[in-house]
This record gives sequence, structure tokens and C-alpha cells, in this order.
Amino acid sequence: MAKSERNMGIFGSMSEVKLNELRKMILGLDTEDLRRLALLVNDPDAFSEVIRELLPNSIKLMMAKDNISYAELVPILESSLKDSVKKNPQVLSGILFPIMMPAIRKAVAEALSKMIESLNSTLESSFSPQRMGWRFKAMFSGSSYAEIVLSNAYVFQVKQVFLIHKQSGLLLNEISAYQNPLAKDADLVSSMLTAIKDFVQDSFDVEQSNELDTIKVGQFNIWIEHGPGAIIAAIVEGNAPSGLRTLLKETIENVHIKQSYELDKFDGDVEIFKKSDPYLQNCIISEQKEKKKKKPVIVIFLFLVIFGFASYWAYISIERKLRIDKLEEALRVETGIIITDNYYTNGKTLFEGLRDPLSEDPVKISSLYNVDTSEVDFAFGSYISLENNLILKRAYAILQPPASVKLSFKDGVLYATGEADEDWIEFALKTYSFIAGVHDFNLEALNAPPIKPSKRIPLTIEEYYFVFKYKEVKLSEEQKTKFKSLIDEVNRVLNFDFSQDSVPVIIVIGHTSYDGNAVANKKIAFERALQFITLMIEAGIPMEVLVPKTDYIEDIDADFPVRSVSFKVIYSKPEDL
Amino acid sequence: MIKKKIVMLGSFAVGKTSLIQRFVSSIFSEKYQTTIGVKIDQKIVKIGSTEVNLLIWDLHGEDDYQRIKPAYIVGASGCFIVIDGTRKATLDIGIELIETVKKNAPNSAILILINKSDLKNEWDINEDDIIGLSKIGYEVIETSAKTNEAVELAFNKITKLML
Repeated sequence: MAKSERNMGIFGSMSEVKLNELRKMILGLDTEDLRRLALLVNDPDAFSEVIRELLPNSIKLMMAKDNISYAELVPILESSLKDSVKKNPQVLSGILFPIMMPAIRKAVAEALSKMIESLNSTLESSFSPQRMGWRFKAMFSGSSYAEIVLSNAYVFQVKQVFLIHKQSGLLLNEISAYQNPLAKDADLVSSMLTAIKDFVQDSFDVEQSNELDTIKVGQFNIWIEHGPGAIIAAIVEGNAPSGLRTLLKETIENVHIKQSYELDKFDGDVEIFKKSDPYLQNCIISEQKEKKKKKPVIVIFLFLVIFGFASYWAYISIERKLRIDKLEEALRVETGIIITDNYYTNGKTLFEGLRDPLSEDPVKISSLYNVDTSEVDFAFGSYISLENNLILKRAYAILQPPASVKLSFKDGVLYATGEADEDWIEFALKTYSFIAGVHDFNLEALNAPPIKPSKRIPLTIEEYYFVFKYKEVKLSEEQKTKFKSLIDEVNRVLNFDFSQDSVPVIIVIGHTSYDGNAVANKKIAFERALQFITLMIEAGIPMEVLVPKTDYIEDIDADFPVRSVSFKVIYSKPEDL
Repeated sequence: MIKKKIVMLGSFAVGKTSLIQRFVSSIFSEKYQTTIGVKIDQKIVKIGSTEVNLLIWDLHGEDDYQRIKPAYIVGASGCFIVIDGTRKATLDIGIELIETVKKNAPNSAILILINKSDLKNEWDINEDDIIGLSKIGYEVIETSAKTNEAVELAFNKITKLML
């Protein structure tokens, strides 16, 4: 059994060895190799690691052998970028930010700087005679304005350089300072230049060394330098320094040094002379007019002026707004004025709302805040305010109380204090109910005024007097009629009601004089007075109010004549009668 | 690009300028305007795949009073000797000019053009003269600037000779 197993083992082992050899012969791989491959394929990490090392090299080889091209990669990259941007643009912008931002900043700064420079330059000379001249020149010369401005900015400028084959006059090479060269057809120009040069050379019979070296055409100079096989011609604008001549000489020398063989063997193929580009390019030189480093005075001045105006305008606007705001605030708290809207129109602030006619004049309020009618306007509808102070104001306006009366208002009740006569009180009591907001009128604190000794006004009665003849006492008929009239007047004017505080008293005065018997005179006078009292009593006048009196007339200008009877009315308390 | 200088030579009023105008601008004018000095035109000709920029120097006519400046001929790759078929004297001048060309531009291709073929019934030059010219060693082409006869052919031929 053991032998058998051993045999099996040997066989098996031998068989394995043989199988392995057979496998290696067929596949080139033994068991170990296969095991490692299986491990590698089954382990994604290990497999990825191996691929990672191989992939870049594979791509390089693929591209080198044209298995894959950039054109094939571009759509993949483009769609990847598109997807990335679609999903989250922040990622790509984050990546590009450090690259883009400095570039953008630089571009913006340059654009700004150019704009300011351009603005400055335009402001400085847009309307100068020089600039106007340039504009006319541009108009008539067919050149652009920019070209003319640029050409005027230089002391000199080499605009175009030709390298010309000396014998044939054929253009070998040409370099221009601008994209649109000055000489449009360089081939013809170079041939013509050669023809002119030859013509001059032949016509003036000058020595070979004295060749044509300058041609002047309008504002341009053509500087020519000769070499044995080629000539160099430079179109120069302005006054070039002699150093340019040296430069042209050096250039033609260098061309000859480098391409003398090609010049000798020239058969019309000019491509080879492209090699001379750097030499010719060196000749495209210019010298700019020295620009005075001007401070942008005009720009600064304009800026200051604009800034000044803007500041002033801002100050005026703000200051005005503050004043208007304060006015609005004042109007809103003012009783009898209701602001519903305010807005700016036609250069004024218009306040709209309602106003009690008795309220404060809004124009007057405006003046308190230094706002005049050129700045504000009011459009108020009328209404009656029930504010306490306006009700009181209205009460004063309607009742017009005397100065001794003071009105006050509280909780719908109008109070009057001080002193007033009955007439006003009566008027006030009739009228107060018409005052809006007043429901009651309290006069309890109002006193009647004390009777003042008013200046006595002579009554008509006191103008009556009866004149008697000497020693006469009785009334004549005529006097009786007059007496009736007197009695009517007394009844009309005087009220002998003893319930009054004061009652009128009629003093009947018998006037006499000291002439003759004064005592007898007085007696008669008294009798005359008594006679009237009697008649008055008869006429119904209470005897208590009738007082006889005599009076000696001494003054010649006295109110009454002698031997007359007159009447005087005084008031007396009833109890004193 | 290849550039070549061609010179038109001949006596006065043989039709040098007319031939160039016909070739370059396809126009012809009966009006005669004598050329003073030199006038240069250019035209690009394509021979096979090669483009050749021809710089054509139209020189003033040669006569007893006005000799052609040799400097104009120097550097030429091709020369037309133009003869007026109606004036035999121009043939003699043409022959003289061939010598001038050989002296100043020895490597230049030369083509002899007998112009004004539209006036052949008025020609002063006969077949013997033409054979005589051929014997000098240069091709002779009869042309007419007026009818455009063989003008293009002449320019194409000289271009081929120059290349």
C-alpha cells in the first residue's frame, strides 16, 4: 500500500514534472508562472498596479507608432471636460483660477491703462490744430488716421527694407514694419529702384564707387547701400541718423558674408534668401519722439471739477433732504395737519393731505426749518380737526369772548372763566353748540363784571330847562307842552324799579342869582322847583326820586340861564332814598 | 518662387510695349506712345508646377539718337528681340541688339519676335530674311499684339528657356 502510494507519488510527481515540461514547451510557462498570472489577474489591486506601470509607456508607444493620435484623444478629453463642467463647474474653475486670475488682472489693468492713456491723449490733442491737420491729411492721403498719428510720433522710422539682387534688380527678400507694407508691390519697386540706380549711374557717368545712395519720395527717403552682389534699400520716414547708414552697410556686408555663394549663383529662386530675415529685421528701427512725461493735468482737473460738482450736488441734496425730513416730521406732529403722501415732482417736494383751516400755516412751519416755497408745495384738502387745542381755537374764533374771559376745553366741555357781561354770555350760550367738538359749556366760574363808575353821559332830560320871567312861577301853556315832552322822555329813559341795585334820582334845580334880593330869589327858585316836582308826581314819577334844589348862577358862561329850572339825574341805592 | 528678369529690346515703335500690355493686361491700343527710359511690369506664369514671377523690363526703342543702356540688360535671364515686320531696318537693329545682349547678359535666353503679323501683306521682311535670322541660332516667332497671335506662346517659350 505504502509502495503503491509511493509509486503513485513518484508517478504522480513524475507525471506533474512531465506535464509541467509539456506545458512549458507548449505555452512557455511553467506552473509557477501560471500561478503568479492567476494571482495577478484575480487580485484587482495588484493587476491595476502592474497596468499603471505599463499604461503610460504603452500610450507613448501607441502615439509614436500612430496607433493612436491626438485627434482621437481630443474628443475624449473634451467630453470629459464638458461632463466635469456640467457636473460641478467649481472644480474646473478652482483649477483654472490660479492661472486665469493673474492673466485677467493683467489684461484688465492693461485695458484700463490703455483707456486712460487714450482718453488723456484724446483730450490733450483732439482739438489741437496739429491733430486737425493730421485728420485732413488722413482724409486726403488715403492712409488711416492711426497710421498718420503713429508716423508723427516718431523722429524717424524704417518702414520697409529690401534686399535686391544687384544685377537683375530682382527682389531677394523684404521685411516691413507693418502688416500692410508701404510699397505694395515690392518686386516692381525693387526692379524700378534698380532701373533708376542704373539710369543715374549711366546718365551722370559717375565713378563706380559713387552710386546712388538716397532717393527722396515725398515724406519718405529711400536709403540704398550697395554690395557686390546685392543692394539693400530701406524706406525711411523722418530724419534718420547717420547710424542707420552704418547699420545698412553692416547688414549688406553680413548678407554677403553669409550668402555670397547664393548671390553669385542666383538663378531666380529667392527662397534661400529668407535666411537674411534676421539681418533685415535689425534694420527695422525707429526713434520715438521724446514724450514729455506729462501729468494728466486735464484729466485730473476734469476729475476734480466733476468730483466737486458731484460733492456739492450730494451735499445740497442731503442737506435739502434733511431739512425736508425735519419739516415732514414737524408737519406730521402738527395738530390739524394730516400728511398722506409726499413725493418729489417738478423740482419740489409736494406734501399731500388734509388741513384744518385753523391749524398753523404750513408755509410758516416750513420757514422754521429753512424750507421755502421754491422747495416745497402743499396740496391739502380741508377738514375739521377735533384736537383739543383746535376746538379751543375754534371756540375763541366763533365766540370771540372779551379779553376778561378765558376759555378752556376738556372732555368735550368748554369752560369760561373770568368776567363777562350778560350780552356775551347770552350770545355764548346760544352759539357754543355750533362749535364742532364742544358738547357742553360751563359758565360757573364766570363772574358778572363790577359796576364801574362810568363816565356820565348827559341824558336828554338834562338838556331840558324852563326859563321864567321875573317873579313868575307858573308854567305857561307852551312850557306845559314842553313839560309833557319831558315826562315822556323821563318815562322812556329812566326805570324807577326799586328792586334794582340803583335807582335814578331826578334833582330839579331852580337857578337864580344874587342880583337883588338873593334870599327872595332863592325862595322863588325853590318854589319853581317844587312846582315841577308836584307836576312830576302828578305825572306818576315816584316822589322818592324827586329832589328839589336851588342854585345861584355866578358864572356868565353857566349852562343854564338865571330864573330857570333844569334837571339832573343821578343814581342812588334804593335803600338810600 | 522663381523670379526672372526679361528685357524687351528692339527699335522704336516695333510694338514692345503693346506686346507687354497684351500679355500682362490683355489690352491693345492703336495709339502710339513712345516709351521713355524704362517701364517695368510683372506677371506670374505657371510652367508645369513651377510658378515664375516675370519682371518684364520694357526699354525705350533703340535708334540713332537713343542707345539702350547696357545696365538695363545686365542680370536679364531672358531677352526678346522685337522686330517690326513692316520695317526691315528694325531687323538690322535687332541683330545689333542680339550682340549687345550677348555682351551684357551672356547667359540670357533670346527669342526673336517679328511683330505685327496682322499686317503681313505689308511686311517688308521676306522668308529669306526670317531664315537668315534663324541661322543666327535663335528661335523666331511671328507675333501680333493686336490679334494676340503667339504672344502668350512667346512668353511661355522664353520662360521655359530661362528655367
